[in-house]
Amino acid sequence: MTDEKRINDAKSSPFKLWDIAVVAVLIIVSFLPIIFTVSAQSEVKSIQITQNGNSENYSLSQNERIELADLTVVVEDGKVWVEKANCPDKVCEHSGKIHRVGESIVCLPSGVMIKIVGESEFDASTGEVK
Amino acid sequence: MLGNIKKTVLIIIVITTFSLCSCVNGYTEYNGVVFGSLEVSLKVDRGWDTVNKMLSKIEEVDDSVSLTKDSYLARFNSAEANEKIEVDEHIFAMFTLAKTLYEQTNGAFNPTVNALSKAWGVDNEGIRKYCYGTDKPESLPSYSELQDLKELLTLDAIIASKENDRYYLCKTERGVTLDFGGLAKGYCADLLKTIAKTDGASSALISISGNLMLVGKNLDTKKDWRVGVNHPRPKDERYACGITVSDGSVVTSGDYERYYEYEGLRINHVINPLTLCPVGIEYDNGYESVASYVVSATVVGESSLLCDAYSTAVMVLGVEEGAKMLQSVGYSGIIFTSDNKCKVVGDIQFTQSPTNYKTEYEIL
Repeated sequence: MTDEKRINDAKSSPFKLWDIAVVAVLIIVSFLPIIFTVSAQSEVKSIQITQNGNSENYSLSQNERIELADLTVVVEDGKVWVEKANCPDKVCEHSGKIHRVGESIVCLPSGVMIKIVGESEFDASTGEVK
Repeated sequence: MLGNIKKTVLIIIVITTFSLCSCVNGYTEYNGVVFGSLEVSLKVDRGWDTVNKMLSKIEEVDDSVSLTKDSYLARFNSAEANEKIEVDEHIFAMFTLAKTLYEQTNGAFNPTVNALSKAWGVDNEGIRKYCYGTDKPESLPSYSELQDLKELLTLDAIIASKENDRYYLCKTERGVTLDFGGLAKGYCADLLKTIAKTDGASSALISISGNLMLVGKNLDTKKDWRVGVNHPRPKDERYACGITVSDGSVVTSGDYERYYEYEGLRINHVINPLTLCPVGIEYDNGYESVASYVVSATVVGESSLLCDAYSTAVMVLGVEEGAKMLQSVGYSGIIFTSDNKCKVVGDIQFTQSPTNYKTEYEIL
């Protein structure tokens, strides 16, 4: 193929090499949001601790003790419970261990909500609450 | 000409990129404990403006009905006979609705029942000590003690009046008290729905301590909202069944979170104003357990306030009378009994029927 022919071929196509490169990059970029949302869900269950309207997520697979101002949250073998609450009623200490998506422990006096979040067959649950 | 094609392709790609971003999540979400008493979840397809308006409305209602602070209701409760107490529009509205519901349910829904709750140790203080804590009451109230409280259990002893845009309540009998615990969350959920809709929301999930209000469909799944109904005896399983709802409220009353055991009796917080005993207990020369009673009543319908009141009324009325009452008002429901029976009233869309789970409920 001569140089002249190559130039002619390029001229006959509506796209140049760089155009295709830009298009390819943009197509890849357009899928970025999906990658982000998929990676956010890659750990199926996690712990969400909310206090004063601020939420923080913790891993359910890592054993640890999370020290908050009024209570200690214990994570062990995929289960979560509350130890050493400084509140008068100790409702949260008596709430037992939680591990299923949607289950929560609430400490009303200190305004702490501990919830297991993740993929669930339900958007919400209805029932008596403490 | 060729340049135009390139431009068009580029524009399409750029638009695709941005539209993918925006459809990831159109919701503003709030989860938290509000005012030391309510577990609140809000999910609305509007901004923080709307969510903050909803949170202030919860505060406003909590300020009027809370019995733990100097609220309008607390002031009324400690008032003397014939003392006129000024209240706000929320208390006045709830009182008016409560009175209608009291008549409609033949007294099964009764917001003056707190005197009995106190005697049984299942008022707010008793629940903290006996249900959540490890204390046990010294004894159960004697039946004659309960009968003496009967005269305090009538809404007819409270007169509501409105003068020059101010609202007043007055009791004719000292000691008559109101507790809107079985009404206020539903009342509030209805107000929050109105705020969301006024701000143009087409999809919302509102949960105030288990009172659900659902607007439209879930935009993430593009389907009706899926709601799991908690199992009343959650040993191996969390849910008793699953349903779908769009545009409506779901409220459940049950005997399984707030109760304590006393000499083999299960004393739970729902008191039957007609028998003077907690649901599941009867008096026959001594207290004994009822063989079959309602342990969970889920009510589905348009108004959360009505769902709230009806779910309590169904627990009190029992499965047969409760089902009849729901039918007569056109609300749907799922009622579970202590002997593993289940009654479905009206049109309920199940994703998981009560027979699908491990507990084998006999469908009535």
